[in-house]
Amino acid sequence: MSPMRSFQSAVLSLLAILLAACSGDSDTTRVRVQLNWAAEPEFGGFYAALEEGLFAAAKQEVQLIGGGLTTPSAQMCARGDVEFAIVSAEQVLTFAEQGADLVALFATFQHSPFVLVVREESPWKSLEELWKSNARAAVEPGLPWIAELDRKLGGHTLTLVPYSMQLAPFTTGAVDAMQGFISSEPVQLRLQGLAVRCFSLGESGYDPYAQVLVTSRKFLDQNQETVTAFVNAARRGWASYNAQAPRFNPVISKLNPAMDCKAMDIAAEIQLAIVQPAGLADDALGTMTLERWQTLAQQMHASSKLKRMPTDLERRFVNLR
Amino acid sequence: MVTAPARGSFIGGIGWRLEEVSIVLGGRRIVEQCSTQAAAGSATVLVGPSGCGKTTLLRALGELIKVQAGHISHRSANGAELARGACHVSFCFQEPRLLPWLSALDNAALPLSLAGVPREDARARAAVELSRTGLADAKELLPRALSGGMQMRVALARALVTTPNLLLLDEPFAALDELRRMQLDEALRALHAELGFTMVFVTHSSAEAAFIGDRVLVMGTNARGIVADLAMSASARNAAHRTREEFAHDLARIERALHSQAEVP
Amino acid sequence: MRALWPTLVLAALLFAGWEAAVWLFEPGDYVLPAPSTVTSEAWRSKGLLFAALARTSLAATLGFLIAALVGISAGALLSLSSFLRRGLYPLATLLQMVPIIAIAPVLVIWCGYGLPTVVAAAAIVAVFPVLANTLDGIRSTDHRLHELFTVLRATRAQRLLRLELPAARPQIITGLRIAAGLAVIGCVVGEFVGSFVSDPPIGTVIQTAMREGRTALVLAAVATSCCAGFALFAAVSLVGHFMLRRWHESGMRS
Repeated sequence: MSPMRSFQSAVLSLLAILLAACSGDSDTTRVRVQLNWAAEPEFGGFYAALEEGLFAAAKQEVQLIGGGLTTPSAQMCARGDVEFAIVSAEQVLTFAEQGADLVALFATFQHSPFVLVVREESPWKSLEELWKSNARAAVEPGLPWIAELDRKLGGHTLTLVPYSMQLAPFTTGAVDAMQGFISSEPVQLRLQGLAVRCFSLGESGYDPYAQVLVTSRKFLDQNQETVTAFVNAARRGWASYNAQAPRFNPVISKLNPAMDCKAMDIAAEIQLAIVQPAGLADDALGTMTLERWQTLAQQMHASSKLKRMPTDLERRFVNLR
Repeated sequence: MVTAPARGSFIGGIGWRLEEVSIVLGGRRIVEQCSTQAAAGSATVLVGPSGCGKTTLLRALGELIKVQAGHISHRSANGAELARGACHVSFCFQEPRLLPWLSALDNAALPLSLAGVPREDARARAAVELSRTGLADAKELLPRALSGGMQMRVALARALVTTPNLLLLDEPFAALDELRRMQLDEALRALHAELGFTMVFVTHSSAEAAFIGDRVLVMGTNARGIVADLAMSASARNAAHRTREEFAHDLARIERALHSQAEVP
Repeated sequence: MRALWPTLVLAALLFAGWEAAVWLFEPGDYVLPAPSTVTSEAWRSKGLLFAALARTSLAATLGFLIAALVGISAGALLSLSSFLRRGLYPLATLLQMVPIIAIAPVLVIWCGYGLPTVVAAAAIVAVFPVLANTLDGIRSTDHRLHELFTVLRATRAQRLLRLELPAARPQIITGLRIAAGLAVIGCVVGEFVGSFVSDPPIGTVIQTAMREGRTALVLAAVATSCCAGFALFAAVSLVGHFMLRRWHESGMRS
C-alpha cells in the first residue's frame, strides 16, 4: 500500500473505534427526566429504581436532572428538551390551554403535600384563621391554591410575600408563615430546633395530585413501549422506596447537600401517608382517576386559573401498565 | 526685611527680582544661576528660541513651579521685599483657558468670585474690564460662540479684573493672525500705560518683543539663561511706532543677539 | 417626529416578521406567542399592568435618585483622596460584580419586605456607573484649567465645586443614563424576592405569569417594564439636554 492509502485507512480505523466507543450499546434508550426540585424523598422512588437497576433491566439509560424554584420543567418536556418531567397537576391543565399537549403518567403524591407552616406558639388555630389574619406569609406567587383559598374563604387579609428556597425569613421572623411540602420544610425546621405546626391544604378541600410524572403526547405516541416500561420500573422503584427508604436515602443525600440522611429518613416516613395511602397496593401506585381530574378542573375554572372548562380530560392522563 | 501690605490696598506695579535661580524640569537643567531684576511698572519681555527657558522662568515668577536653587522675590517701590500673596499676580496662558459653561462675563469675573467678592460686584467689575478690552457686546456669549481673538481678550479681561500688580503673559497672542496680534499688542500697551502694572511678557517673535517691551531679555538654549539685556526705545507704543526707525533699530539688535548666540555650539 | 420614521418602520417590520413566523411555525403560546396575542393579553390585563407599572416606576425612580446622590457624592469624595480611591474603588467594582439575584434574599432579611428591599436592589445595581463616570469625568478635567485655578489660588473645595464637577457634567449624565435602565432591572429583581404579592409590581406579575405558563402575559409585563426604563432614561436625557445644550456637543444634538 502507498503511504497515503495506509495513512487514510489508519485514520478511518481510528474514527470507527472512536464512534463505537461513543455510542456504547446501541440497544439502550437514553431517557432524561427533569425534576422540579433538588433531589429529595419526593423523588425517592425514581432514585430507588435507578439504584436497583430497574431502568437498566428495561434497557433504559435514565438521567434524573435536579431542578429548583424556577426550573421550567413543563415547558422543557412539552418542547421535547427532555422525555419526562415532574410537574404539578395544575400545570398539566394550564399548559394544555396554552397548546402544550402533556400527558400525566404517574401521580407520586396521591394527595396534596402542600402545607402552610407556622410556629407552634402562634395564635392561629385554623387555615381560615390564618388566611383572614394580618400575618405575613411567604408563598409562591401564582400558585392555584392561593386563588382557590381566596375563592372559598372570600379573599385574604394576610400579607403575601414571595417564597424563596430559604428558611431564613421564617426562622428570623421576617414572615410568620411559609408554604412548604409536608415532608420538607417542617422537617428541616424541626431538626433546627423550631417547634412548628402545619395547616394542610389538602384537608381544606383543594386536593390535586402532586409531583406528577408527565411526557409529551408526541413522545408517548411514538414510544409507547418505552414509556410503559419506564412507568412500570418507576412504580416498582416506589414500592421499594416506600418499604425501605433509609436504604436509598444516602444516595439521594449525596446529591443534595442541603438535606442530610436523618432529615430524609423523617421526610420519607411522613410522606408515606400521601404517597401510598392505606389500602393502595404496590402495583396501583401512581394511578389516577378521571373524577379527581374533573374536580381539579372545576375548582381551577371557578377561581379563574383556567379560562375554559376542558372537554378532553380523559386525554390528559393515562394509567399505563 | 519683609513687609506685608494688606491685600487689595496695593495698586500699581511691583518690582521683581531673581537671584541665582536654577530650575530643573524632568531631569533637565532649564535655567542655571540666573539673576536679574525689574522695577515697578516696567514692561519686560523674555524672548528666545524653543527650550531656552523663557516660559519656565515666567512660570516660576508666577509660582506655578518651584525653583531648585536661588530666590525669587517681589519688591515694593522702595525695594523692600514683599511677602508671598501680598500682591496680586495675574497669569495669561498661551490658550484662553475659559470655562466653557460660563459666559464671557462670568469667566472674566471668576477670579473675584473665587476670592469671595459678592456676585453682583464681581460681575460689575468684570463688565468694566470687558469694555476695556472691547468686548462690551459679547458679555453674555459662551466661549464656543467667540472667535480665538475674542476669547483671548476675555482671558485678558479676567487677568485684569483683580487689578493686578504683576501681569505675566506666556505668548498669549501666538495662535492669532498677524493683524489681530498687532491690535492686541497695542491694546495691551495702552492698558499698561493706563493701569501701571508691572508686566513680563514671553514671546518668540522679535517684532512683538520690540513693540511690547521697554526692556528685552534675550535667552539662550542649553541653560545659558539671559544672554543679552537690551533697553528698547522709549517712544509711545502706538500703531505708528512700528514704522519708526528706532523700532527697526531695536528689532535688529534683538535679531543680532538671537543669532549670535545661535552660532555658539 | 420625522426622526422617528426609521425606528417606526423597522419596528413594524420586526413585528410583522414575528407574527408571520408564529403563524407559520406554530410554536405554541407557551413558547412564543404572536405579537397580536401579546397585545391582546396586555389589553386584557391593562389594569393589572398599569398598577404594576406605577409601583415599579416609583421604586425604580427612588432607587435611581439614591444611586445618583450616592454615586456622585462618592465619586467626588474618591477624587479628593488617592488613598481613599486606591482603597475603595476596587471594592466598589467587586460590589458591582456580585449578581443582584444572589444578594436579593439577604437584602430582604436586612431591609424587610416591600419598598426598602426593592429600592435598595435598584440603587445597588445602578450606583456603580454613576460613581465610575463621576470619578472619571472629574479626573479627566483639562489640566490646563487646573493650572488656571492654581493661578487663581482656588481652595480644594472650590476646585471640586467650581471646576471639576461642572466639567464632569457630560460624563455624569452618561453615567446617569446607564443607571436609569439598570435601576429598573435591579428593581424587578428585588421584586422577585421582596415584593407584596397581592399588590403586584412588574416583577411579581412576571413571576406569577411564568408560574402559570402564560408566556404572553410575561412578554407583556416585560414590555411594560421596558416602558419604565425608557421613561427614566428619557427624563435623564432631557435634563442632560437642558443642562448641556449651550456649551457641550453632547447636549446639542436632540
